[in-house]
Amino acid sequence: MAGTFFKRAKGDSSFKRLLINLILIVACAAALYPVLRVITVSLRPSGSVFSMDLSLIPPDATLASYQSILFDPKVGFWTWIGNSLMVSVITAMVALILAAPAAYAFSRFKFAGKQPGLIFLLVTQFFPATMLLLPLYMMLIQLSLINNFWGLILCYMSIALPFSIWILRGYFDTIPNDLEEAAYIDGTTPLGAFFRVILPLSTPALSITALFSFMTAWSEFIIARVVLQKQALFTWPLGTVTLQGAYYTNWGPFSAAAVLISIPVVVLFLLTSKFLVSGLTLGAVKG
Amino acid sequence: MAEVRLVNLAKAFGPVQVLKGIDLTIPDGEFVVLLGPSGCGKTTTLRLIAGLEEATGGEIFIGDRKVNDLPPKERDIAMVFQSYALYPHMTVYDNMAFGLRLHGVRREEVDQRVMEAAEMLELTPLLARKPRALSGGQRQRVAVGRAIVRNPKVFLMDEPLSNLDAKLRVQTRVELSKLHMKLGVTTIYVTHDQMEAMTLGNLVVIMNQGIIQQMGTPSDVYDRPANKFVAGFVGSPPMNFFPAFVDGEEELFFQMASFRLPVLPDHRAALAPYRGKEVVFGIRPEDVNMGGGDGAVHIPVTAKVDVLELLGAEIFLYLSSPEGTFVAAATSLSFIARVDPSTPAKEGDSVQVVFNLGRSHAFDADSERAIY
Repeated sequence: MAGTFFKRAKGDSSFKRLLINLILIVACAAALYPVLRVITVSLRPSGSVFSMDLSLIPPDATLASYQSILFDPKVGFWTWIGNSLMVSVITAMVALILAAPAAYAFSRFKFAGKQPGLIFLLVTQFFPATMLLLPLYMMLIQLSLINNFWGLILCYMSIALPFSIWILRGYFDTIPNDLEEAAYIDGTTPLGAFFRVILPLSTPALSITALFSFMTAWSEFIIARVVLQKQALFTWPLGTVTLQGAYYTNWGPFSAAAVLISIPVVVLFLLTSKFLVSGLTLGAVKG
Repeated sequence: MAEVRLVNLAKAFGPVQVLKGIDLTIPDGEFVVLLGPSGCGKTTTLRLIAGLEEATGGEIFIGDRKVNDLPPKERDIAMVFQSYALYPHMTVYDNMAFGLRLHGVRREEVDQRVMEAAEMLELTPLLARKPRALSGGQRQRVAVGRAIVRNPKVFLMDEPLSNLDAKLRVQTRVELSKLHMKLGVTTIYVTHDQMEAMTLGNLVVIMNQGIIQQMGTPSDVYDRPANKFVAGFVGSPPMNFFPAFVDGEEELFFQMASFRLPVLPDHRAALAPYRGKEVVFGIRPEDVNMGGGDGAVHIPVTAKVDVLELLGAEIFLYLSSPEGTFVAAATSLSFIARVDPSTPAKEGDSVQVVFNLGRSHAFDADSERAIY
């Protein structure tokens, strides 16, 4: 990808290249500055959190905030991470398990309501999660799923599934029918062809779908706030809020928590970045 | 190996009737080519035999078994697709072994059969490669290899050579022919390329608009076409057709727009019922010869050379003879002659040609069926 970028850049005028780079630098700075400030604050000793010093690594840098977040039993950081991981991984897995066959059906089979069904799935994406909050809450009460991870996962699924189905369906559409037919003749059932031929070929699309579903659940706050009320069940976005007091917020540990929490997402992103770039463009460029 | 029998086979996609009741028996061990223009139903027929489409009427037998309701995997067939349909995530070896493994063949036997097929198709050095690392010709061989390791009763091939370049196509055609001679498995091959059909098939089935127009050996369909469609479809350049009026009393004549040809004694009986009626006279380009003729049977016809195509070993002359008034609907008579490259003709020349009437054809103007 980088190769293509530079190749293309070579043909452009120096002014254009300068402009492009300038815009990129400004965009990167705008994106990175808040993150860097959070890192800086997380490294400050508790006495100088509100210092006006702008250096990235403060002169009296300390890992005390990290230590308190990671090892203070009163904070419960590991519980939040554990809860978040569990909710996010299950959301991603269930989204994949349900979205892949659904998307395959939308891609390959003719059935009544196929087109309206697809459009309906798309329409659900137009509503912000906050708008669905009240109906979701009422449904979860009816199902006795308040203060239950499954209730939260169910809510996240309602956001992640339609999106995953659309992404996967777009990808399955690019896989020629001949491959399944060859598999049928070789001796598989339609289900066998799906598992042995289609799914192995769809790793890029499956990876990004899983990543998006994971991230949907990982950083979500509002629904979690409504569904989970017991502290022991808090996911990290809820947990970090407990670090805020009514009169005083301990910004050092708060920032340290923010930094630590972004690590799994960064790692996941790096692991799947190869697929992310190819996966997002595959539907567009593959015949 | 098995005989394949189609009985009144029909297929409709919604309101469109693609196959209109086909009856066809493919003898055990034959190489049969289904030939026809795009949309004639040949690929649909193949897919019905494979079990990839469901028939809307009729029966399909492979051997003694009626297979209409069997899924593809239970029909004991193998298919080579136009796109080859190799599994991109598997190596050549795995592509070939996939079907055997699914059928629960022991690992040693899988290995032995894949190696044998690879050896036969010269694929042994490529076994560890993925399809994307192969050339078009190699992919085609893997697709054939995947079919032959299975040892099926019937091979189905859907235009397997159409993605190859001209040279490789000729080479692969010969290889397929040899392979069939060696394995002797009943093979049904779909193509729209008549050169492939004529060279590969023991039997050629010509289809059009969902109907079998003729089935026969390549020389049958070329020399004795059953109707005007077959006559026009088989052969390149196609047969020349002239609207003709059957005239005369004792001796019959074809009266064309601007010239008149005698009906040979052998053909008189067949044409007698058409006296006074319009028919279609057909003659292949290679049966239009340059020269003055003998004035009796081989009557010379004067024509103008509109276009001359030199193909190296032969010349195609696109000729036209002046319009006449004998047949009301006649347009200017254009026809093609396939002549020796030494022929001294130039574009714009007026030349004399004679028709080899012994190899001419006549078709009913309405039903288009061959009269002789």
